[in-house]
Amino acid sequence: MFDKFIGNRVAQNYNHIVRPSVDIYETENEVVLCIEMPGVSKETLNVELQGSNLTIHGLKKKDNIEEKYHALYNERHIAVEYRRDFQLNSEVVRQKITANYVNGVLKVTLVKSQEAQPQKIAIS
Amino acid sequence: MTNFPIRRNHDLTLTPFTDLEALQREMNRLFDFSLSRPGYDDTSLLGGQWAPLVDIYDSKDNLVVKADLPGLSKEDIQVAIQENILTISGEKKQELNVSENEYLRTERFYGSFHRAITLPTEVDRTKVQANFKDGVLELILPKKEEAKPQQIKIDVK
Repeated sequence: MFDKFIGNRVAQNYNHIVRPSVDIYETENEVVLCIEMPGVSKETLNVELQGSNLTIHGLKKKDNIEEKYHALYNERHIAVEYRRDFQLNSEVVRQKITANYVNGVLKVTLVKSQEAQPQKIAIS
Repeated sequence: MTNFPIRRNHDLTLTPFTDLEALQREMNRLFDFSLSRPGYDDTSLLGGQWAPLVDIYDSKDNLVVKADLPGLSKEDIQVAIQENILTISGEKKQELNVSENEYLRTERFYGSFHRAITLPTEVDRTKVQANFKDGVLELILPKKEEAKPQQIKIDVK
């Protein structure tokens, strides 16, 4: 609870860094991350892999309405930095990392290297 | 003789209490939200429900409502206005081709949602514009002519 309390709220209000929500699933040869970052401009999205450390980063900037109109009520993040780090525990093929941003969700697909994929062992 | 307190007509931003009031608001907000994640009500006995986070903006001619709906497509969202109540509803579905045991982590909320917002002014329902981009729904609601702020000229004699 305190992790959430300090991690989410305080960071949101004071540092303007938000930890986005993520779903991760793993199949035989892929690991897929779906990260919720609504309203982020595509050109600020950044996916970086350094060693086994995967960093996802994107900026939500104020749009015309958020900038100029008078806000009567506000719950959303208007101008924030989304950032999240992941520690990968299986080797991935660096050249095959793909990321696409659809409907406010960034989907990062990591292809596991041959060694990390399950090997079928024939029993004689 | 009674002493009447004199209220000076000074700029609001200069009063010493503005900062304190802002701090109080911020503290209230902190405690409201600390026990549950924003947009998610886990106090309900029937299990958690989620609702999208919304903003309401105001200008002279329009009201604008924005809602964060990441992971939904245009077809999953319904918007309706009845009298001055705007409702946004729909269903967010998990990826179909992924089986339960393949998930390592699920932090996102799924399921149907319903959010009703009472609009502060009357709007012209026939001229509502809806855009959906990058997971953000934007509704531009033109105010009715009679709801727009009007300047009343008073003749001083």
